[in-house]
Amino acid sequence: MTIEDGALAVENLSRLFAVDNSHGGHGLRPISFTLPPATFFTLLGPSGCGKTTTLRCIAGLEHPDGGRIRSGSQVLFDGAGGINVPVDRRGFGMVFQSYAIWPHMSVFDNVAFPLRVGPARLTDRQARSRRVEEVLASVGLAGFERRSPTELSGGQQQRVALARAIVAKPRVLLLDEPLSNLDARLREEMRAELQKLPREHGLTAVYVTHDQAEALEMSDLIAVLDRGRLMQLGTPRDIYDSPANAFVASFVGRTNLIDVKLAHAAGSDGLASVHLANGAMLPCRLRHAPPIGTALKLNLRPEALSVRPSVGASHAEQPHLPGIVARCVFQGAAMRLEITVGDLLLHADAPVALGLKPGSAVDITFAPDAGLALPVPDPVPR
Amino acid sequence: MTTAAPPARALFRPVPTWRADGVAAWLPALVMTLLLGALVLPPVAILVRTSLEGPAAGLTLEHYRALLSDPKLWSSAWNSVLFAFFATLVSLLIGGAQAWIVERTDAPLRFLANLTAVVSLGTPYVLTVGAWLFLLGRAGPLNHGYMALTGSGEPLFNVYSLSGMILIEGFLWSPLVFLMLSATFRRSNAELEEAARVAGATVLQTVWHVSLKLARPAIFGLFLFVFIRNIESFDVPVLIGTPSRINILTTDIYLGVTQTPPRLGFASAYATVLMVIVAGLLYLYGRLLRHADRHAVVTGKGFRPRPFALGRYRRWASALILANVMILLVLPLAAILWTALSPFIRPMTLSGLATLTLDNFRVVVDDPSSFRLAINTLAVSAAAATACMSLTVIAAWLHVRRWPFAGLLDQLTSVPLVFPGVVFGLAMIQIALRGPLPLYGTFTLIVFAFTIRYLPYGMRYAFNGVLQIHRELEEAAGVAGARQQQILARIVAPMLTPAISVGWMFIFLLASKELSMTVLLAGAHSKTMAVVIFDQFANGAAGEAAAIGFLWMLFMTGVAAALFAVMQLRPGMGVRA
Repeated sequence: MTIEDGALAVENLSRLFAVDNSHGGHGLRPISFTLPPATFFTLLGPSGCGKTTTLRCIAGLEHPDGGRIRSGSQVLFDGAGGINVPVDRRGFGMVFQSYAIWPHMSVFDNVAFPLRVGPARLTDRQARSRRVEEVLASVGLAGFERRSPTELSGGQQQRVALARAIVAKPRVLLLDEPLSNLDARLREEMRAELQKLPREHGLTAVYVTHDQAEALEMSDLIAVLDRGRLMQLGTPRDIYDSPANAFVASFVGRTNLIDVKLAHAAGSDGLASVHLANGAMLPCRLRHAPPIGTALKLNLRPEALSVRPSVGASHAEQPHLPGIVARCVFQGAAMRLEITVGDLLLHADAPVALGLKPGSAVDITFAPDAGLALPVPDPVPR
Repeated sequence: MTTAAPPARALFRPVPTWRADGVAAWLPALVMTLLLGALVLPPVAILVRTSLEGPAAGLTLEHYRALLSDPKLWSSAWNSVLFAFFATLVSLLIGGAQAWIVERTDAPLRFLANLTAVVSLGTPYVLTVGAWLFLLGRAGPLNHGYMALTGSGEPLFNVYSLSGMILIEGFLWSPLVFLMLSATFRRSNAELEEAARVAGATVLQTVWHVSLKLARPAIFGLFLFVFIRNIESFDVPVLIGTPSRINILTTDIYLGVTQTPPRLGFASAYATVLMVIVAGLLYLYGRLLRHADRHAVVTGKGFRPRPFALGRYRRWASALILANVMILLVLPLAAILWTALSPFIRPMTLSGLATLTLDNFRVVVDDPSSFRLAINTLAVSAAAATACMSLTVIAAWLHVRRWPFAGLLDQLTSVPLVFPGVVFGLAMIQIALRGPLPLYGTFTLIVFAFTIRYLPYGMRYAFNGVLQIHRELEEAAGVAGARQQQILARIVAPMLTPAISVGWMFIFLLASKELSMTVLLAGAHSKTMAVVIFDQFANGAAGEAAAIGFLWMLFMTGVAAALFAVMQLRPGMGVRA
């Protein structure tokens, strides 16, 4: 796919912060991605990772230091070419973290605003009303036109913000942590809605969140950011199953990360082997081919581990680790375990029926290709 | 690529914003800076210049030499400090106690304190001062009653003294102290006090260890603020101090200008010195405030502090409130009414009731100039308030939203704070006399003077108003396709309406009762209500002054009540320094 085909293409976008900024951010190292039309794209990362900065640069609310931003064939920003389309002429829709609903306007006036001032102005009053009513209906707020937004609940305000963002049929919908101000139950409900709506309207959405569960559930494509750097770009499945490094593995989903050293490079079956600190040898997959002896992190998801009471017999055909249960947490469907293996503490799940208790001796087994040895990200210069 | 060194661009050119590019980005704030500079800087320049001009050509320090070698300067300065310090103490004690009782306890009759504050906001100081002069004077009920009871020929209390001045000035400022401290107590976090109560502290211990300690920065700040205003004060010193030959700095300047021939150079030197003192105090105040802000535990989030249950102390608290209402409202009102209804100045006695007359009111109502005077005062105040708020809303928006070159706007609007009213009047006279336009003695000059003088007040309301508008509300309009002027007109201005209207009414009220500056600027045909009342008191026509003052007070109380109603609806919009 060429850049021109993308609904939104970002090339080498960078933004440095002059001195210290209030968000504790580190600026944005050059970052690039291209989004096909109607993609739900998520920028995921801890606070200060640069995800909101990226979004605000795309919106035109912040001025990047360099790079290019395009939408379709139109260049919106080009640092070298001196092009910078102002925010009010980019034709995007945006939902803000605080919703930013104007309290002095009715619900109708809030939603109609982009149709009154913007490049997508509708001068025909009736066409405008029709469009506003249509959009309000699609977010489930039909009949709320005359209400004041201050009378609405958080979830309803959120829907007004969403309606306002899509009313002018934007090319791209930008969403800045829109769910962070809602309570848990409403958040579940709005997740589904936020995912459904852009699809129905054929919109490309750029969604910013620090919640990995949200990102996995909603996205077609995820960019994981840390301290201004793009760590991995991929589908939710890629990110979870084949994280690019230890940071991505630990940030997305629960996992065990064990310090290991590479012992043998990958053989014909695709499996390499690594040393634990105590000398034990385990098979695993590799994402790249580092020199023998390189320090790595072995990523083992808790659900890939199977735990059974120790019977003293060896399981030569499967990698296994002997351990002692340190803590059990009853979770209903399963028992969440913390198991000490020598100096290590591993997280694993086990059926409640096994009747494991703290102090029980157990054997942990897993498939030879369950483990993935990952590079440790370089320390970031400060 | 590393982030080891911050990029240099922030140091050399303004950070680009989403709001505008190129000329459109820096022009608005630059124009505003030049405009405000042209308003506030000439008065300072002209005072300094006049103070350096001798009879001969060239600059001279003659006036400063004369000033500093004058022993009267030091006695006036000492009087000023004594007067300001103790008057501040009086108003803080009265106003602070009222504020705490009203905001933080369940004492009955609390609403009366608010009523008192509203009426006093609308009343020209000169009128209230006149009333207390009568009450505490020889013929007033205090001394008259004492002399009648004891048969003594000597009055109990001589109001024409420094202590008289201190007491009356203290009364005068206590309602404003009450309003400002009310806002502080209202915002205080009740949970901090409740935690102390749960830990076993009594009400008094809680107040002492928690409430007062938390409010300490606010109280210190307020003390310094009122102290500065008292150093600058004019009404009480001129009405009480001058007849009793107790001079302070402001009255010295006034006398220097009004004596014949006027000693403008000397007065300007005097004014410059006073300006420097006030600027120093304001600097201190600013540092104190910044410090107070950083350590403020008070929060503004939507909770209603629960009041203390005072139990058996409730009636004492109510008694304090009633005493305050008597001293600040009922007695002065009665004195004004008595003076207005009496054919001549006389003690308040039952026998006097028979000869009460409406003659003074008749004179005032029949005189067509009274009506014109009222209209003129209202028009001048309204024009100044409108000009002031229009300028400050734009300046505040440019400044808060960090438009390029907007950095000086806040400082420029604060410059007029260093002018005591008399000093500013003096500067404006000289601008009018030296300027190309025949402004001297016109209403235009007074409107100009009011506009400049109240810029700092307008700025505080506009500034805080803009701060309360979440940045995303404007960004959302930008993303929706609105231009900057559309954002200002359709988002910012409508949302600022409460702040603008409270600021407008506050300036309107202050301007309509301003005396110290107006008394110097008003020509024969450009007098405002406060000046006329002052003239009549000074000329011995106390009856007529009381009559016209009483009617004016009724009217302005209505305006003050409207201001108060808006403030109550918007708790964030309390009276500010």
